[in-house]
Parts: sequence; C-alpha cells; structure tokens
Amino acid sequence: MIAFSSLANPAVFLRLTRRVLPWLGAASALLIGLGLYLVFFVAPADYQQGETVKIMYIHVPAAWLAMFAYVTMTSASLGVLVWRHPLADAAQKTAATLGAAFTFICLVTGSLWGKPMWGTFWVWDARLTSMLILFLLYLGLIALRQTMEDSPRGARIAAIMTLVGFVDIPIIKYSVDWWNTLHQPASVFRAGGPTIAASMLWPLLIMALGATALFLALHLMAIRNEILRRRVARLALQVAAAGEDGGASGQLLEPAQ
Amino acid sequence: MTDEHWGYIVLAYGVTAATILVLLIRILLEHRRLGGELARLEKNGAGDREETL
Repeated sequence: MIAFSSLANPAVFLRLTRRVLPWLGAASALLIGLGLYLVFFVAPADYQQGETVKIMYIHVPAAWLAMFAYVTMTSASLGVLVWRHPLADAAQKTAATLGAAFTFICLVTGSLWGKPMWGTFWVWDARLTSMLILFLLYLGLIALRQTMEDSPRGARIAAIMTLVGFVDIPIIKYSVDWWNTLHQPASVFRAGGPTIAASMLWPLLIMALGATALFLALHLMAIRNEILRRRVARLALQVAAAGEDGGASGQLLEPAQ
Repeated sequence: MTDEHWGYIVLAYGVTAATILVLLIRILLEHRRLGGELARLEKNGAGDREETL
C-alpha cells in the first residue's frame, strides 16, 4: 500500500495520476452523459418553473464545485504553511483557475435562470453577492500568483490570502438562513433531508457526481502541468548557468517551436 | 412556461460547455507545449532526471 506521504513525491504523483486520469475522465463522461439524458428525457418539468428548472442541473453542481475548489485551495494552503510542500502549492495554485471557471458558470447560469423566474438577471441578494465576492477572490488570487515568482515566500503569501478568503465560504452557505434573500434556501444538504422530489434529485446528484469527477480530472491535469512547468523552468536555468560557465551554446534557450 | 425560455436553457448549457471546453483545451495545449519543451531541454543535455519541484 502506498503511504499517503509518498503521494507528495512528484514522481509518484505523476505515475499515479497517469493511471487514474483515463478512469476519471471516463467516469466523468459517463456520469454527465447519463445525467444529461435524465435531465432532458426523464426528469419532469417543475410545476412553477416549467422547463427552466433544467438550468438548475448545471447551476447547482457548479455552485457546489465553486465552493469545493476553494475548500481544496484552503486545504492545500494548510499544506503549504504547515509542511511547506511544493506539491501542495501546485494544487493550491491550479485550483484557483478551476474555481473561477465554476464560479463563472454558477453566476451566468444563475442569471439566465433568474431572468425568466425573477424577472431580472441580477439582484444584490446576500447569496448572489457572496458568490460574486468568491469570484473576485479567485481572480485576485490568480492575479497575485501571476505577479509573484514561484518562490516559497510567494507560495506562503498566496496561502495566507487563501485562508483569509475562506471566511466567504460559510457566508455563502448560510447567507440564505442569515438574511432574507430572494435566493431559495438549501433544498438538498439540509438538516431535515432533501425537499426536492426524487425524480429531480437523482438527475441532480448524477450531474453533480459527473461534474466532480470532471473537476478532479481537470485539477490533476493542471497539477501535472504545473510540475512540468517548474521542471522546465529549472532545467532552463541549469542550461543558462552551464552556458555562462562553459560557454555552452545559446540555442538551448531558444523557445520551443 | 413559454418557448422563449428554451433560449435561456440553451444559453446556460452552451456557456457551461464552452467554459469547460476552453479549460480542457488550454490544459491539453499547455501539456503538449511543456512536454515538447522538456524533451528538447533533456535532449540538449540539461536532463537532470530528479523528480523534484
């Protein structure tokens, strides 16, 4: 059995993810395919929302993943601050882009649902506003990483900023309970159990599982890229240093075609 | 529910698919570029095979 700590070794990580990724991709495609079939051919129209309820099947998983990505980043940030492991830093850095993408999907699909249902694309409701803040947090963290070098100090600053931003996650989750909002309260993960009909709950859960598998696959691929990018940067530096020491040819530093 | 609401549904699914596709293509192209660059550097003798970050 592979020890958990050995997974933090980039070589083991690359080898393992090379094996896992095809299965994760296939699971994601199958689950999303099945989910879309259920959404468009089996799940009934809502008695109030009509067919517009079909937007919920992508909006809700996107919202869950938008928050899940931030929780992932926060866990990775703890890995950076406590163990100072570069792989945790790569995980933290790459999750930001994915989180921003899923938050964007959540905001756009929510607006497209809101127009026919509420009569407006946007209201400054607590849930919507806190979700917009999450999107801005992601953009801020991406910008922060782009302005800093891949130094341990830069990683620690990004990790601390991520931890500070985590305060928005419980605000998003409980905004519908703490304030009077136009956004409906939780209907799946709530104390008394789901209030959504089983005929709609199952397609939603299958879509959410498929989207989660997709997120994990994209995240693993992005981490692999980050490992490769840092290795390329290190080798390019070595070549540059060798060139200075021994007059090695400059052709090694030419950009790849 | 009127037919015009299908426009919102199609747009929502379209934006979602486009966003995911852009992410996926960006990651795949980046992987290809980095793989090529790494192979070129290693071929040119910069190959430390250590698996460190």
